[in-house]
Amino acid sequence: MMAEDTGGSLHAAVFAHNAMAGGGGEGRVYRGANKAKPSAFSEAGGGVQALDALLQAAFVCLTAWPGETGVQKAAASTLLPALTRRRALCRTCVNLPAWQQIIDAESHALSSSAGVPGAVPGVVALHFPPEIHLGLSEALGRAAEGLNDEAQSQEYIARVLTPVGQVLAAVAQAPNDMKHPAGESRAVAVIQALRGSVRATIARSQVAVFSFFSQSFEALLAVQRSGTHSAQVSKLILKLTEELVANQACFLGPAHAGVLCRHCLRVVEEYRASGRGKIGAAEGGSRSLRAERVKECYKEVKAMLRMLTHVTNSDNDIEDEESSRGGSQRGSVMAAAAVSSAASEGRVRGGAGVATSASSALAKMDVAQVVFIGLNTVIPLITDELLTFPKLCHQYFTLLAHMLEAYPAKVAALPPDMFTSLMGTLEFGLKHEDVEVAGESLSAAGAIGSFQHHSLVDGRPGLGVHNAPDASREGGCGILAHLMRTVLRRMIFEDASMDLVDAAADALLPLMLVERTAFEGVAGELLATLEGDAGARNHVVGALRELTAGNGLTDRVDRANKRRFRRNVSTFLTETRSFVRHN
Amino acid sequence: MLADAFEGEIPLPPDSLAECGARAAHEERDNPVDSLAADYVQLACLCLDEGGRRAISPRLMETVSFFLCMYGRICMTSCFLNSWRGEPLDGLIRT
Repeated sequence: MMAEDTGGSLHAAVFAHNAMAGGGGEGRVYRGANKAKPSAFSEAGGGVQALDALLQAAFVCLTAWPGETGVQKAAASTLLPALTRRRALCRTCVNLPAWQQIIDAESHALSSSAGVPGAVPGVVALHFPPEIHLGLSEALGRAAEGLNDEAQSQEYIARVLTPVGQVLAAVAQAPNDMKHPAGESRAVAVIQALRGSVRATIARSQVAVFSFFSQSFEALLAVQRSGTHSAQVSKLILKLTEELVANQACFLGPAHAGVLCRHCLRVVEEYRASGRGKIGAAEGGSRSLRAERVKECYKEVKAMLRMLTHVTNSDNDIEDEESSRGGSQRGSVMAAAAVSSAASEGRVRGGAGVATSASSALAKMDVAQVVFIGLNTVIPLITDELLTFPKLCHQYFTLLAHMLEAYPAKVAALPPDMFTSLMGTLEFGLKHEDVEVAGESLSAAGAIGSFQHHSLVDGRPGLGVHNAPDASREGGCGILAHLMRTVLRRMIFEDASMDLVDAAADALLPLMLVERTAFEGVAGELLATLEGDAGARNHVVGALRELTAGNGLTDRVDRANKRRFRRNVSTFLTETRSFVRHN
Repeated sequence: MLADAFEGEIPLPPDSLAECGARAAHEERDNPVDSLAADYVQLACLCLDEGGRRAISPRLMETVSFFLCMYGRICMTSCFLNSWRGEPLDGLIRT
């Protein structure tokens, strides 16, 4: 905020100084500084009138040519956003009568969309396409930046959002309308308008926006339920939830974050209950229809993964090993932050209308649990077909790596079937040919390995039974040994480049420390392939020794040791690949 | 071109235009950038009255509003910001 308001004048001041020092400033740049009369479009000059004219022009663009979506879009998605991105402009905007006209136009268009019974006869129905609602309500929301007073900005947001809320309630109460295209388009319009106001969340209006949404959760779920048959409604509801979490999470204290998490969980469960996202093998009939269906699923599942990723941001006390060991500095800093955010929330709570007694119970809502339940829903939906979409693939493995790094203990406490399916996807990622996906998977594998290593050092059970030997795997080893085997095989036999060496080294170090015997087994197998070639064998034996003991490697997982091990792995691979590969 | 899509925190008018404006101020002429922009705003204002609206096609209006958007983002912002200089900051910082 400061930067915005002082940056420009600082710039001007610097240039003005230069100009004076240069004497006359011929050929120099100085912008609007040192002038006796205010420049033509400044706030003191004709700026306010110009802005007023622009807003009126925007209003005319929106309303004068019904059906001309091009000009409506130009006004709603380019002109108004440009006028609402700076505080000085917003401050002028919100106080102009033309602005009120625009607010009224939006609410009128929303309520008259697709023939609501309440539409007044005789008044020309205003119709905006859905994306206009999105752009327009974002601009309207952003203008709250221009109000200095918190009460004023709350009142302003209420004025903007109340009509949206009414239409939402109407949509939620008439689930049968959704079966009709007109009803569906009304639902789409209202969801787009809500997305716009969520995107416009700024510090100043966040409280009011959150309070509006926390009262509308039920209605949103009802809309989701009645819109299960519609690809558009389902996708938009998921996107709305995702954007809500993404934009609000950074402002919320524990209690409100709990409310939001609970809502996410319900959205995920509702989605699961709806049975969308599952594509039967024979479904779709023709190929293009099926492709269409797969694409729908991809969009929905991606929105859900992104939502889960953002949910993790709302967690105020991420468990990390140091704070769980007790009394570290970081832990206490976090505790202090949590206390202060709770205090600031106390101020908020009165206005936000979230029940205080309920919030203390909800505060215990566990973010990790929400994400894992969500993942459990999503994983069965992620088919090979969907993983061919690179964005979805990256999103999933980024989330997986984050979860394993931030909540290893929660992962260890998962029920066996869920844990197995997580590890199944991790193995898939480790074998994936995309470097980024493989890199994320390697860091996930490293995270789970170092969790196990630290647990063993501290005498805690760590993964416990999850890591028990399993006869169905190659060599009958536990999951960590299996992951190590997968990584080693990829690095030694499959990859030609050295792109992943560092990431692989970071993953291998803890895994090898935990699974020494399994590593010896792998080394034995490697040497067995060189039977009969004594020179190569000796060379590889030397390389293996150098890998595990070279450069003063110790048996700790810390930064210095990781650095040494990266060097060792890189040397080892250059030495070994040439001997063991027979192409 | 009156404005470019400046990739930064605060969009600023291109140097050449700022220089041209400064030179005009030095010679006590009207700033050519400002007068051209004012004409554009006038053009947009044509649509405000019923008669003028008939003369303007939606397509033309689309182009005009696109220009006004660029102009609003860059020239207007920096003018507004500059005019704020000297105003006490206590209203701006939220405590």
